[in-house]
Amino acid sequence: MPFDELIAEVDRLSGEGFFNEQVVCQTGQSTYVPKRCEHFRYAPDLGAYMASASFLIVHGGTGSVIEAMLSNKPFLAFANPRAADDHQGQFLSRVGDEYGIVWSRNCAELSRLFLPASQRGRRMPSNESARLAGAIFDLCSRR
Amino acid sequence: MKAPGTRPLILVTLAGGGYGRECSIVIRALSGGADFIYTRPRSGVTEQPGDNGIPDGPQLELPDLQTVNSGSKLTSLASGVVIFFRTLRFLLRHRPDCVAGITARESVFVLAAARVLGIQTLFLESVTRVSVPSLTLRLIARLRLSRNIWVQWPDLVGSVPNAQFRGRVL
Repeated sequence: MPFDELIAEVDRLSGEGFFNEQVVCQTGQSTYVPKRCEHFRYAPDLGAYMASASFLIVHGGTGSVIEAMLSNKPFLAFANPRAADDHQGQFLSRVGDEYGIVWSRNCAELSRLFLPASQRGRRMPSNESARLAGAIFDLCSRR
Repeated sequence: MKAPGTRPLILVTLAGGGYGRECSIVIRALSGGADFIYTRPRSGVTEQPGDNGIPDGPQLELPDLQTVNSGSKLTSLASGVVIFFRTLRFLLRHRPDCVAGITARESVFVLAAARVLGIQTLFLESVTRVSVPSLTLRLIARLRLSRNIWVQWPDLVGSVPNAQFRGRVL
């Protein structure tokens, strides 16, 4: 899904010198082309970019949020209003409550939330995937 | 019936984008104790079997289904019929112990094929679905296409019949 308003806000703040360091945008399906920061549509592996970043700004997609949470980097998340049933907003609201992440539905709040997101400690996910796996193995043994 | 101690064979519906990341987490958690076959959408997947701890295995490429907000429903239905019959042949060839639809919308038709053959079935709703079930989940529940329907937040239990909370990828 495109998320032009988030890319545009990051680009605008980059132009104003808000971030005080290099900004790199992965634009995906967005049609807005940044003018004031480095950008690319897709990369085979975003891991290297995330590893070298001091701060992450992500949309509320499951992959992005999971990667950000596991990266141990401070991050700020925004719900894309194009997501069906506002599921990104509901997801971010819930992980915000559970794990203490900072998020918003309004990209214009980026500058206001940046510092709190940089400073707030968060709880790491407990990773219940082993529990899920055990339940799946149990299913396989049943007919 | 398999001999005791034989590793189970699980079919997993691979997905692209963020949902693919959820898939990968579940597969890695299973990888020490199972073998895998996969379905994959033509448009691509987030992580390839054989890479990054995702066990390799036979793969069946499926036509893409349109999202809820785009495309023709008739086109999706036609693609779904193709998915159903291709999956049927794939399942007859490999005879997995379980078909696990993990978030992917193709799961509707993949699970339908598994149900026809009497194979154990599971659908795992995405972790992004906290209180409103996806169309995929609602279809699978309404049409009873999976014996087991798991959601990743307790809030979603009760949103469709027989949904259970058995854990989450986070």
